[in-house]
This record gives sequence, structure tokens and C-alpha cells, in this order.
Amino acid sequence: MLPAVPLLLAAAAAMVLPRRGGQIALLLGPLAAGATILALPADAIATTPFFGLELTPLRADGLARAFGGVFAIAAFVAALFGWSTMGRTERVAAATYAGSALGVVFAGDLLTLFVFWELKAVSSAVVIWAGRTPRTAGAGMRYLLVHVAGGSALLAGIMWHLTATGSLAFDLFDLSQGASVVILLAFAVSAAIPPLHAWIADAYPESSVSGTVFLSAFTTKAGVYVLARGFAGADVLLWVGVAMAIYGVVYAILEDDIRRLLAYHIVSQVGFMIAAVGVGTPQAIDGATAHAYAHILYKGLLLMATGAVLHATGRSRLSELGGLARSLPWVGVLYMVAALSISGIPLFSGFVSKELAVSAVAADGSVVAQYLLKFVSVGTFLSTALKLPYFTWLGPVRGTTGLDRPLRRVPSTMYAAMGLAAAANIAIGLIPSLLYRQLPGGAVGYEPYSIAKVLESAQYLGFAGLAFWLLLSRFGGEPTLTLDTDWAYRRLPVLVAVRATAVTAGRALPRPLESAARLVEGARAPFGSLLPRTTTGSRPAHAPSWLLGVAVVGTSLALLGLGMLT
Amino acid sequence: VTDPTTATDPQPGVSPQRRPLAVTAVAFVVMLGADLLVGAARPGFWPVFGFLSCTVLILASKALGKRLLLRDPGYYEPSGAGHVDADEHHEQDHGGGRG
Repeated sequence: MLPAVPLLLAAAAAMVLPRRGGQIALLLGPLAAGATILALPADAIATTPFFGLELTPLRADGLARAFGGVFAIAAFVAALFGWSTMGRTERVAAATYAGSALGVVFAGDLLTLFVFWELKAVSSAVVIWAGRTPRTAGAGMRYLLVHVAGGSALLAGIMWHLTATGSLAFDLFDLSQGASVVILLAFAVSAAIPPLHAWIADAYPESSVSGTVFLSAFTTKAGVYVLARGFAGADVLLWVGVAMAIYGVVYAILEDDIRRLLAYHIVSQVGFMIAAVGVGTPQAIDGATAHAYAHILYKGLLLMATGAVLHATGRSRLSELGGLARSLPWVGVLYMVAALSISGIPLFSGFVSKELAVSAVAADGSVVAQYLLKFVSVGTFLSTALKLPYFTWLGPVRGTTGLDRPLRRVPSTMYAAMGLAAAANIAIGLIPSLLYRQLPGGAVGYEPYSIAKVLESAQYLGFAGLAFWLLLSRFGGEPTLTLDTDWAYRRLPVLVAVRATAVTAGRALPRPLESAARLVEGARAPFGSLLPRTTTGSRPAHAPSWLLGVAVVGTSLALLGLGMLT
Repeated sequence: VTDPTTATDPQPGVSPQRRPLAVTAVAFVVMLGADLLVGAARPGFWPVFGFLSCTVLILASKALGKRLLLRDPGYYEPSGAGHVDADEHHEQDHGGGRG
């Protein structure tokens, strides 16, 4: 049986069963998927003929098993976390999403891969929409458009690859082929490689508290998996990975919203994995896999703890939080387990996974890249283990009004899910072989703990902490928004429209351009009133529909061109 | 590097502003000793690396944000629906540094 099937069945059950049945189905699905993976014989393969092609819907080698195993764990923990807060739509979408992610990981051919890839994109967009706030409507639509464009590129690349090579096998691609470059770009969207990453910081923080936990586990790590499978050893990825590690951490340091801050750390941490994939040696692939594994566990915990803060206080901005050490102490403790893990503190999961990846980069990649990744580790520690917890739990209450309403109770199922994830992070930190023996190469010959390595980490992270203490007053309290590459599809079309309207009306362009954009919004109101309204009555954004048109037309033209070539 | 006036233990007599510097100096001496004890290849390298990296990251990203990237939280909202208390450069003393 395919490991995706139990989760897809759980989705169907969650759709028809009453609430309690859906809750239970969402816990049983991941357990059954995990059991299915464990029961598969080593290097199991299943093939089936399909209209003259041979498909491989199941390939359970070491790489697929490692990612599949942690996906099942993540789905269970996230379902437990969202036990009492998720509605029917979110449960169905989340189970479908987790199932399709498993489908991607165990796909042995490109057609199976594509089918699960698209299912994953659509179901994850529904997970975002299930947040049901005015902001999730627009963010989910932009997310879906980006991933539809990525999926279309993947389909175009697969068709090109099939006509060029006659094969649908999903193995290492040859980057000298044009088709491989198109497929690489499609994978890069899913792995959130800048400048194709803006959807992650746009959509993840707008989702429900449980939706974000599901989202953080699957899409980017499925991206890492397909890159490790198809582009291991592609030199360009080493420096792409280093660049995205730096990019993500700089944005995280600037960010005010705690869940958006953590979304940028996904970009940064995935950078470590991509860099290791670019090195491509067996130890590097082990490092990328180990770091993806640990990342899913600690990032899930980080987002669960910040989600619990949002659930309890209704706030998620550092400029409005503070002083929660009295009211939510255990959430703070559980958060710190994850923060110390992501920072690579010895005895926590991130140390044994990140050091494996970075040492592989140093051994067979570049020493400069190694130092840059250590530099990023300092930034990770600074923003997740110092800045975020200081301003959320320890620092004085901020914002114009205090926390004037009583806190909502954090359900015990949330604590149970966080406790499970924390236990997993500590267990891996204390007993690295728990993680290493699940890796495709078993991390043979690597010993994570030595006095020199522990002392080195303690020194550079400890002194980063001292620098933070010295510069504490530099961290301001203003609520802010950080511009990113989504500006190109969220703002630029509006600015272009303003210019076009002003020119056709024969008027001079108002200055500044920003204020003019507002005039156009007003002028469009009569037209806008014809559009469907979201729950709070705000109109859906115009820019996404414009982008959808461009994406669809562009993809059609690309496919047409390919058809003519062949 | 170590200034003898700051390298003393943080006593009540050391002013709160200088306390982080004093602790840093003491910690550096201790770590240098630890490095020499275990025979590290480059004694004192990683403390300096961590301290400088963190300082550079904070100052560089703050400068980048201020000059280029930071906007009002209502930047992408349709007109009128912006963040209510989104006055730019909204000054606020949060009493950081007193610990």
C-alpha cells in the first residue's frame, strides 16, 4: 500500500464523520501511514503500466523513508496540536496535504510526482484559507497562484524531459539539458529559494495556528527532497543555499510578527539543506536529510509555541507582546527547547543535524561557505533564542494597551503536542543515533560530540548572546512590515495601473505615486462591488487575478511552443 | 584588548551601562583559558567570531531595514483599511537594557 493512502482515507473520513470522528481519523491516519512505511521491505518498488508508460508509484529507498517517516510524525503532532481548534475544512485539507506530501516523497516517476505535487499545492492553499480571516483569503490566493505557476513549470519541464529522453524515471537530472533547468526552477519554488520564496512569509503567518504547523512541515521539505533526489551535487545549489540562509536570517532579524519571523527562519534553515544538497556527497545528503528531519521537529514546535501565544493572547507581534513568563511559563519553556534546537546548541536536535550538514560543506564544498553558515547560525540564535523569547516572555508588556482581556486557556492537547515534539528534539540531541540510523547513508563515520565542537558552539553562540545584551536598546518597538519580492506582484501591478489610468485620463501623475494608488482603489469601487465579497465585506485583491491571467497565458504559450518543437 | 577597569567582576559599583562589557571581558578571558587548556587550534577565535557576527548582523540588518525595507504595517492594505496605530516612527521606550 502507498504510504499516502491512509492519510487520504483519513481526509475522506474527516469529511463524512462528525467532529469527534474526524479528530480521531486525523490522528489514526498519520499513525497508519507511519506503520505502512515501517512495514515496507527495504528498497521496495512497485511499478504499473499506464497507457504505454511504466509508472513507479512507490519507491521506498533510504532517502524516501527518512522524509516519509518524519512527515508521518509531523502530521500526527500537528493533528494533535489542532485537535480542538481545527474545523472540518481544515482537517480534510490538512490530511490531504500530508498524504500528498507522502505521495511526492515515495513517487518513483515524474508523472506520479506531478499528480501529488499539484494535489499538495491545492490542499495546502485550502489549509491557508481555512484560517478564515480577511487576510487569509488574499494570502491563500497569492500562495496558490505562485504554486500553480510552479506546478505548470514542472509539467512543462516533465513533458520536455520526456520528449528529450523518452523516460519518466525520477532520478538525477542532467543540468546541461534545458528541461532539467525548468524542473529545477519548479522545485526551487517549492523549496522557497529567493526570489521565488515570498509566498512563505506572505501566507504561513496568516494561517490558523494549527494550519501553520502543517504548512511548515511539508512544502519546503518536499522541495528539499526532490532537489536531493534530482539535483544532488549541482554546484550552483551550494551558493544558492548559502545565499538563502543569509537572506532568511536578515529578514528574520528585521521582522516584528513572531510567526513571520519564524517563516523567514524556514527560508534560512532550508538554505543549509540546499547548500548540502549542492555538495552532494553521501555525507552531505545525509546532512541535508538529517537537518530536514530535525527542522520539521523543532520548527513545528516553534510554530506551535508561538501559535499557543497567539491563541491565548490574540497577538503575534513583538511590538505588542511581553511579560508572558507569568501567564504562559510552560509555553515559554517548550519554545526554548525548540529555540535551542534550531540554534544548534549541544544536546538539542539542531546541533547533531546542522553540524553534520555544515561539516560536509566544509569537507567537500567550500570553507568560505562553512564560515558563512556559522555566521548565519549566530543570526538564528540571536533572533529565535534571544530576541523573540526576550520580547515575548521576559521583556516588559508593550503596545499602546496592555493585555487587557484575560488570556484564553491553552488546551491540554496543544501542550501534549508540544511536549511530544520537545521530547523528540531532546532525544535526538542526547542520542544522535536515533536520527542517524534513519539516514540514507547512516552518517557513517561522523561523531557529533567532541570537546572541540561543543566548546566552539558554546563560544560563538555565547558571545553572540553578549553582543545582543550590549545592543539590546537597538531593538525598537515599532510595528513594521518588511518589503520582499512579493512587492513585484502585490504592489507593482497597482502602481502600473495608476500610471496607465493617469496617462489615459490625460492627467499629470499624482505625487507621490503611493497616494495615487489609493485614488485608483476608490475609482474602482463601483466595479469592485460586483465582485464576490469575503466574510468581512472587503473586496478580493485585483492583483492576483491579473497575475493568474499572465500565468495561465504564459504557461499556455510555453506548452504551445514545446508542442511545436517536438 | 581588556581594559583593566572593566575586567572586574560586575559589582554593584559597576554602572548598569558597563555591566555587559564587563561580563564580556571576563567571559573572554575565561574562554581563552579554556581554549588553551584543551589545546584549541586558534585560541579565542570563536568568541570573537560570535561577538563580531552578532554585532554585524544587528547593525547591518537594522540599517538595511531603515534605508530600504521597512514600511508601515498597512502598506499592502486597500486604502482606508490600514493598521490603526501605524504611525510611522512611533516612539516607544521599552526600557531595554535594564536587567
